[in-house]
Order: sequence, then structure tokens, then C-alpha cells
Amino acid sequence: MGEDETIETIKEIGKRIERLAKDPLESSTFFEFLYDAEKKELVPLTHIHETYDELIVKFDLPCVRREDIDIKCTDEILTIKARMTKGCRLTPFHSSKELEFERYRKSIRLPVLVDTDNAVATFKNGVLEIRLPKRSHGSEVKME
Amino acid sequence: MTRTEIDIVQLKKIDAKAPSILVGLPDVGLVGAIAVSYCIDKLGMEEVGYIDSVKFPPLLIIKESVVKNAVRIYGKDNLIAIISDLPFPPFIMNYFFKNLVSWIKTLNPRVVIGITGLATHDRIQISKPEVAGIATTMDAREILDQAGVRLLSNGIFTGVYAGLIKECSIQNIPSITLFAESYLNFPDPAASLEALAITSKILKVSIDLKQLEEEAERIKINMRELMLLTQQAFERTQKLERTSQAMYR
Repeated sequence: MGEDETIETIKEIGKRIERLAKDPLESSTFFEFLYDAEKKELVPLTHIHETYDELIVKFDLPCVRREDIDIKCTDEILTIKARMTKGCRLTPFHSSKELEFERYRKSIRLPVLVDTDNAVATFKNGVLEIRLPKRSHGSEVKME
Repeated sequence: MTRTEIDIVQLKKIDAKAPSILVGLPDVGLVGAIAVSYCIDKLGMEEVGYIDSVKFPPLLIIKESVVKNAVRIYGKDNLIAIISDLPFPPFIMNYFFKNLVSWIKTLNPRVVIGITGLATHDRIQISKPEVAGIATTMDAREILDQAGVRLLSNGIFTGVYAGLIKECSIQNIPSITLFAESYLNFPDPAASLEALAITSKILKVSIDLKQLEEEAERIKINMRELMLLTQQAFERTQKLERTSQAMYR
């Protein structure tokens, strides 16, 4: 490994430690915390996208029916729980044995204040999309 | 054996004449990784080699109790497939593709076919993902035309396939890359299916896609970890979703 690559790797590790210290909920997406074997829960893959007036959060939920999804949102935390149609067995990378999972669960800390009353969720082909309008765009700044 | 930065090891002799070469690497929606892996399985392709590098992370894959290298080469008749279970760190891409394409050149290929996803922000609203393509030579462009694939005329691409296309272009290798509309960081077997339907036309080989459709949800669950590792690679290559049709026309 060259000097530049070593510096890049050290910077990457530094950034991850910062994220972990700042917010364990957020940092879990950057590590391999994709399952909780004891609770038989998978942590879904998640994608967060922010536009000018909305926060769009997507969860990948294969093997789930619309009616088995439970969504809760507070000012700060969005939590989804979903029961799988049938138990799924898989051997995760870091496990030596096959494990069984029955549901998904994930909480994420929202990066902005949102209007939970006007949130809209869509579920299509195993993907849940939640659109959360931002609560405020702040005050106007006058130009002198 | 002396180890170099990239070692392409042939386990069996490759007799293919003017082969078509499929490349499925972890990238947007794992579209190529899923498609090429499915193709290898369905066509009963045989492992004929692997690619290793001192710069790869120390990673081995265990499949049915057999230890495999992360980047493998398969072959059958005049078709060769290259797949990887390892997202490539950006610093290795130039070395990797320079060596890989030089090796491919020695096989005198008919065409190199890369399969990947085109990250599309409103993918949830799309029931049948469109497949578009780009080509590095006029011959390769004609292959796309004959398969009825729309050419992408403008856009910016980063990541592994950009490395492959660039090197094929430099070495004047006929190459096409199929981009299926896809989720950026969720495995997208439906996009792989559409890309494979086109690939089947290009190769003039029948590929039964029924199982891919039926097992899409199981594939999505099984590919979660590779997707997460690939997401981490995206962070380093600034991979973005397409948010406007104007970006890719």
C-alpha cells in the first residue's frame, strides 16, 4: 500500500469513529449490523435522500406484505417494523451457521425536523418509501 | 509463481474462438453481479480461472464448503463470464482493468458485455426497468442497434464500469455496457432480469429467466451484505442516483 492509500485508509477509519461517537443509530448503517440473531430480526437496507422540501427514506423489505408493516415517526426518530411472510434462513458473512429471521426492524435518526402529520408511505415490490415533508424552511434573509 | 499486482490464473485451457465476455461486478443495485451469476448458473458454465491481487482485501468465498476466490472466470463454448463477490476499492481499478482488458485482448473477443444498473431516483414507480447502453466501437454499437437497445448519449459515470469502459476504449476492444434502471443501493433482480433479456438477444443464447423472477425476493435477502459493502465503495467513488432525465439522455 502506497503512502496516499495509507492516508486515505486512516482518514476513512477516522470518519467512521466520528460517526459512531456522534450517533450509534446512524453509524449502524456503515457497519455490518444487518441482523439481530437473538431477536430473529433483519435490519433492512436503507437509503435516505433529501430534497429542498422533503426527506425521502427508502427501506428494502423483501418477503413482506403491505399490511404487515408498522411505521412510527416522532420529531427525531423514524422506526419501521415488518413481519416477513415466512421465516427466512441465511448464513450471514460473519456467522458460521445458518440463522432464522422472522421480521425486519430499524430506527433512524432524522437529520431534519419533519411534518409527521403529512408523511406519506408507499410500498411497491418489496420497497417501502416514506416521504416526510420538512417542517420549516427557516426565515428569509434580507439582502442589504 | 511470482506474484504481480494483478494475477489472472487460468485453471483450465480456454479454447473459445472470438468469445463474448460477460462482466458482472458489484455496482449499482448489484444488477450485473446478479445477472451474470444467474447466467453462469443457468447455462452451466464451468470455473476456468480466477483473478487475484496483492491489493485485494484478504477475502475468500465459501460456496458449498469449497473455498473460492472472490473474482472468478467461467467459460462454456464461446462465452466467458467474469464475476466478483468483492467491491473494488477505487485505488485498484486502473491496475485491475488495464490487466484484465489486456488479458481479454489475447482472447480476440467478439465483444465485452458489461451489465450494470442506472441508479434511478423514482425506481419505485417503474414496473419494467428500461435498459439503455453504450458502446466503445462502431461494431459494438451495431450489436446494440440490432438488439434494439437505446444508446445513452450524454451522462457522467463513475465506478467500476467506468473503469472497464475506459480501458476497453483505450485498447480498442469492442465493448458494450448495458444500464438497467435500478435502485442505487438495494439489490435489484428485476433490473437484472431486463438486462439479461437483452443479453440473451445479443448472445443469441436462450436464458430461462423464470427462476430469477420467482426467486427475486430470496436473492434480494441473500445479496444484502454484498450490497452494504458495495455502498461503502460508492461513498468513495461519489456514486449518485439519477434525479433528472436530463442527466442521461
